[in-house]
Amino acid sequence: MPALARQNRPFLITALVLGAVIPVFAATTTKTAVATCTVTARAKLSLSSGTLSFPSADPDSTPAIPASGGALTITAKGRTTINSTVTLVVVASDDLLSSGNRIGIAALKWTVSGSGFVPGTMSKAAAQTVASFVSSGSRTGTQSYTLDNMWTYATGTYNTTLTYTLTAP
Amino acid sequence: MLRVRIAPVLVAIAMCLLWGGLPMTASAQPVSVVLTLLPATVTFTDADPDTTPTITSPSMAVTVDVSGDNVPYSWLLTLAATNLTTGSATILISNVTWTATPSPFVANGTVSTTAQTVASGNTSCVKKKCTYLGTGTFIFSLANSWSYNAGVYTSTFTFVLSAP
Repeated sequence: MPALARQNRPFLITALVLGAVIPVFAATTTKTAVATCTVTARAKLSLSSGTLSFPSADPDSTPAIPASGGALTITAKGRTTINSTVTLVVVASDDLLSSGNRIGIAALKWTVSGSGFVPGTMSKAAAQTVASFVSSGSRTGTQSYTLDNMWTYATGTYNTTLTYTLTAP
Repeated sequence: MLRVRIAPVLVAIAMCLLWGGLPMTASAQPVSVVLTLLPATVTFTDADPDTTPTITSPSMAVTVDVSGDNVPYSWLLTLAATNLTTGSATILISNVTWTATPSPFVANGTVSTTAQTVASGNTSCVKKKCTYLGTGTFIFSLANSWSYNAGVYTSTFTFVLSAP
């Protein structure tokens, strides 16, 4: 038996060595998925107030009447294609009217704060630019209206409608 | 005497060859890795960022199937993705996060252009057959923003399953 064991020893050692060096082969597989994200053009506009009021004032001491509610805060959000321009415009429906009397709408002017916002004078003939931006984004600015005050205005309560349009092409 | 010592070695080599135990044959300890994505798409539909600040994709079932013989194996599943692009416009892929269930799939994380581990584990052995089979449910979410330019963006999500 001892002789047989000695004879088998190389076999056992060889088998053990071979067994010990059997490697585990790395296996790898790759799968891909396509992700798609659709972003459509859209625009959303918000104004801090839906009305503007200008109180009566002495034209000498107050040649330009500021709106009593203070500045209008405008938030313009627009998604458009890259490098396209998002535009905010405003137009008046008519002059300021009161029982047959009128104040030319050009008496309504505004100043602004905020990047992309521009000052201007109201018109009923053509929409006036309030703000413009390149590419998508959410922008906030203010618009402070004043009304030119004149002794020539007839007394009364005047009204008009201002329409804001935000366009994101 | 020399002939007596060499013969058992040759016999042993021959037996190992027959048994398929030489390292040159992968069948010695075969590792099979199979990865399945269903569906193999991630879709983010358009939505108003104010009302839908986060857009979620339909769930994706990711099935990991690893099998081998004799010894347990570790396995690793990673994910990398390209940025979402359309023309010259880009949405960084870091705006995309995932949630996944169950363990050992990583519960949540942020998708990156560099490989992130999304699951890892080990096979378990029964009668010298070592396997892992599991399915993770992934939901990808995109942080919505007004700053995204309009367009149809695409990205490639690359899952890599490796063992050991």
